[in-house]
Amino acid sequence: MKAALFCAARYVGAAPHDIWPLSGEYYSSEAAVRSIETTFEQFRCADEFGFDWVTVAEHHFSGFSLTPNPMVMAGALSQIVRRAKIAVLGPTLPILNPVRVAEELAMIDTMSGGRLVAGMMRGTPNEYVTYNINPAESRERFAEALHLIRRAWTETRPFGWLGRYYQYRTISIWPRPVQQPHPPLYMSGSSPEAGAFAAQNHIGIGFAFTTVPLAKSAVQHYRTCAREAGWEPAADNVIYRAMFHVADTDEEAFADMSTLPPRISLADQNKAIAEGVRQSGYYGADAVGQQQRTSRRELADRIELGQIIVGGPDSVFAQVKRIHDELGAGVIDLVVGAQLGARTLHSIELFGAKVLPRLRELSQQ
Amino acid sequence: MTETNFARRQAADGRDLPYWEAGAGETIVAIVPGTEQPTRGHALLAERRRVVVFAPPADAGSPQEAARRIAAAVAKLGIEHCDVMGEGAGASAALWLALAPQAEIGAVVLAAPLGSPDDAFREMTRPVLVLAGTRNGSADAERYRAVLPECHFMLVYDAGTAIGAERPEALAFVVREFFERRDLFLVSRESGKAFP
Repeated sequence: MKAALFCAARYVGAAPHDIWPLSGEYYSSEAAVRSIETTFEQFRCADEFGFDWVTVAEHHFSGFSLTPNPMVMAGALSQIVRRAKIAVLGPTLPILNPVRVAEELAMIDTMSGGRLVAGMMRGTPNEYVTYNINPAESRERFAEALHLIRRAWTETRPFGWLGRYYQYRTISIWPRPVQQPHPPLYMSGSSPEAGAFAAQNHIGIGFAFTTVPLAKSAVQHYRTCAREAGWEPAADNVIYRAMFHVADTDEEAFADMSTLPPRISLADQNKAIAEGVRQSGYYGADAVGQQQRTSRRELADRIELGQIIVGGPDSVFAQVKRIHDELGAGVIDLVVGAQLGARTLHSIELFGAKVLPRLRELSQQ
Repeated sequence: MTETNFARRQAADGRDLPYWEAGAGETIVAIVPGTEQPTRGHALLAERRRVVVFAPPADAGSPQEAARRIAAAVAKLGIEHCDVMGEGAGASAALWLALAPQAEIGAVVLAAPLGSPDDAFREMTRPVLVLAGTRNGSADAERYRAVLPECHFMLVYDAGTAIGAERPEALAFVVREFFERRDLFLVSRESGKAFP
């Protein structure tokens, strides 16, 4: 099993964690610089301690993440992280210019010598407000943009695109991806529609801030759809993302995490936006299930459901192994749950030194 | 407007090719496979242009012969200048028509061309736009692209072999632009202004 470290570049200054959009009145450039330096340090540490991937993602208007353009962060990481793959999980595709996304991801693949993992996401619901895109168009925009990006990566001669949402008279991107025919692709597999689309288009799936039972059902659906499409997904086609914190003992890890405020998802931080997006049909056929993913829960429940992985190395291994066994997931994407300074770095080191070698054995079994 | 606005016509002696016609203004000659009729794409084009649609039957001979007969029919109609659109198996006849030395043809669009292009098409000097549907598994459009090195090539998302029926608005939009502006169609004239 592979391990990834996802550090969202959370703002380390004093600011509310439950408001979207977050006012710039709370902003300190000194704290922001420190946030980025901290993020770099954690990614360096992950690289040094054997993590397979480092992960970045796109979020806007919030202290939760200072990477509204994850490509910029990935470009920096291509020069800082020397060994691990750079996973952009991902650009929020429906709100972006797909040709620009194709170009930037190709740049990252080139700058990293072919280490890009490209996740294409629909993003959290609030992101549709960011660039004023109608969330009702999200799935159609996503599908078209993804097809266009694949073409942009693989067509060797200039071509135009006459889409439903995107129109370009001529496209011929430079640089082009190092990995051929293109870097590995992932997308969210949480909804039935997404799972089916991913399977039909030979794309890996990822789960973020969900629960193991919900993900298990979604993986089964994905595998069924893939079989119908004539292929069998490998373990590496499934990524599961969860917050994590490892300490020397369970007690220390729990004590660290008890200082955390309850997590309120970006989707739930603005009730008007949450309701407006829900009314648009953004969540698809399984709207109830999709919204359950982000329900507020106590720490113990979150651990039980696989939303957060906490403990000493043995406990953490057991929790990750359960995810591996129940989902058949080949990649665990570990989110830095809290910025606890040296204890966060120690958590990354412990995972790399004491958990990751045992996860490798899982793959061999 | 729908395709029902097209009137089917044929010379009284029945020797000329039948055709459909609608609209007014500069002429677009469209060549579709013999079994087909005007689509909504043609109807949308006919809102601003005169559109004459030929569907050469199987007994019309080779694409070159069909092009000769279409050229004769076009001349009889008094059309001196036109643009040409070849769709599906009509692509080859469209290029033969455009290659004819006496033809006064502005530009050519090939929509989901089918069949193998003739090497003679390499001599084409008029602006050509090749459209290919992303759901069309055929490599024929690529073959046409290969023998027309100066052509513009555009993928029509979510379309197969019948672009005029599947994405009529998109087809009409880009064809109108290309016929009006030729190579300059590469530069958008659409306003990005949200409000005046």
